[in-house]
Amino acid sequence: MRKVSIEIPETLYRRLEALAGRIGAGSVYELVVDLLREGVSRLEEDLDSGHELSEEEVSRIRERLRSLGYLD
Amino acid sequence: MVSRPHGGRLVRRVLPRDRLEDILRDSRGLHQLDVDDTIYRDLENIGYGVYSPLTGFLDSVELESVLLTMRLSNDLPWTIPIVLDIDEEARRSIGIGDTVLLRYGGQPVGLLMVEEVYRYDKRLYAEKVFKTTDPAHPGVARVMSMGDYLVGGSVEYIPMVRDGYEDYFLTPMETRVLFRERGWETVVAFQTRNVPHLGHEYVQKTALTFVDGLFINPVIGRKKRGDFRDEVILEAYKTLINRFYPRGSVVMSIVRYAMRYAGPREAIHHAVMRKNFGATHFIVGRDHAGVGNYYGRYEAQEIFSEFPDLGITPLFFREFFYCRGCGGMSNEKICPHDRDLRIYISGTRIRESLSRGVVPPGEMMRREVAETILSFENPFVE
Ligand SMILES: [Zn+2]
Repeated sequence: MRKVSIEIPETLYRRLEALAGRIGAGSVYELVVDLLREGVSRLEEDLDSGHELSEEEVSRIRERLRSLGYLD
Repeated sequence: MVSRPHGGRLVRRVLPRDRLEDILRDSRGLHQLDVDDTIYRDLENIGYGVYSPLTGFLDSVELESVLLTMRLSNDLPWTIPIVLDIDEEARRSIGIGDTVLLRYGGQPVGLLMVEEVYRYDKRLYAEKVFKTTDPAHPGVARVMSMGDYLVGGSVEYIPMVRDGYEDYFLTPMETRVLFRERGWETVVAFQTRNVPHLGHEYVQKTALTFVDGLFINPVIGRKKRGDFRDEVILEAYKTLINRFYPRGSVVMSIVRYAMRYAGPREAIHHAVMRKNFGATHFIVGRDHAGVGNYYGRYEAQEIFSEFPDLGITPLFFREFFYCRGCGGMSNEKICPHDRDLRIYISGTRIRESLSRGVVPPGEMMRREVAETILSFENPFVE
């Protein structure tokens, strides 16, 4: 296990604490690791599902950027 | 990588053309509501995702959260209430579940799906956002003149009104593609409401020294008498960029937005907007978004320490001046000399000089920029 220290907003910490109690997570620490695991998986899926814009949308945008002189 | 949108996903709520025609055909059956300049600009910013993750105007739970904690109820930093106010008469005609056609200057500009209509405490709003209830503060004055009710609900923006600056405006979706195409991984944003003087140029170039690209955003919109006209600001910047900035390192794009003058809280809001455009850094100077003497000189910088999770890095600057001791542009942090060796850049003095048709001192403004400004018959708002 790697030990890291991060700053999080006070309000968020209080919510984590309350939530840990309500769902029976052993500690805020345990809950945070669970949430991170869940969040990381979701972001990885987002990335794998590809670009947020379709190829067609991107080429339309490139076209506009070129016509306005923002791109060569 | 450019910044992730605030809250993770870029919002897009612009009504497709084909649906627009259907709606306009049936618009007689819809409730209609005229909105002011501030709300209209907010609507556009919601539509293009400049305000991501907001998809509409705040409901009472979110407003309370923003006022009391400077965060949305899901803990995401959000400091300025984005609200739509109505008066008693409009309240009587609008119900929950209604779709309302929003109009600006007589033209349809959006659809609002009404989810809540509620009363709010104007004094609390002013105290929290502006740190004062003084009606002489322009932001407070606007809140006090707003209707007594707010409408919460999601919106769809209808891009109908043209202001002549369409070619200077890029949406967050477009800037994200642009930054990627240019290969920029780090982008610093600079907001301005003024023509560029040497102080601005040195702040921008100092920042650009450490990142890949500079993103300059003149704020277009309501101005007071004596301010430089929007087209003058754009032309002055074009001259500066073309003559004095490395090609390919700068993007200028306007932001349509009504200033609140909320100082520190608004600095956070401005940073969030730039994060949504893809910027990774944001320049915060002295008295950012301030007015009069309501905020401390560097209060708008200090507030950033409360938001370690903002997702965009603020760059704090002291005022630049010309120093005869240093033999060039300098600032308080790096110049050891006495004040009498320094030439401070004065916006008032530049304005006064230009209004007489005279190029200001070269220690304050580039001659080429001044000449561009003077090529306009009247560079000022009347
Ligand atoms: Zn010096």
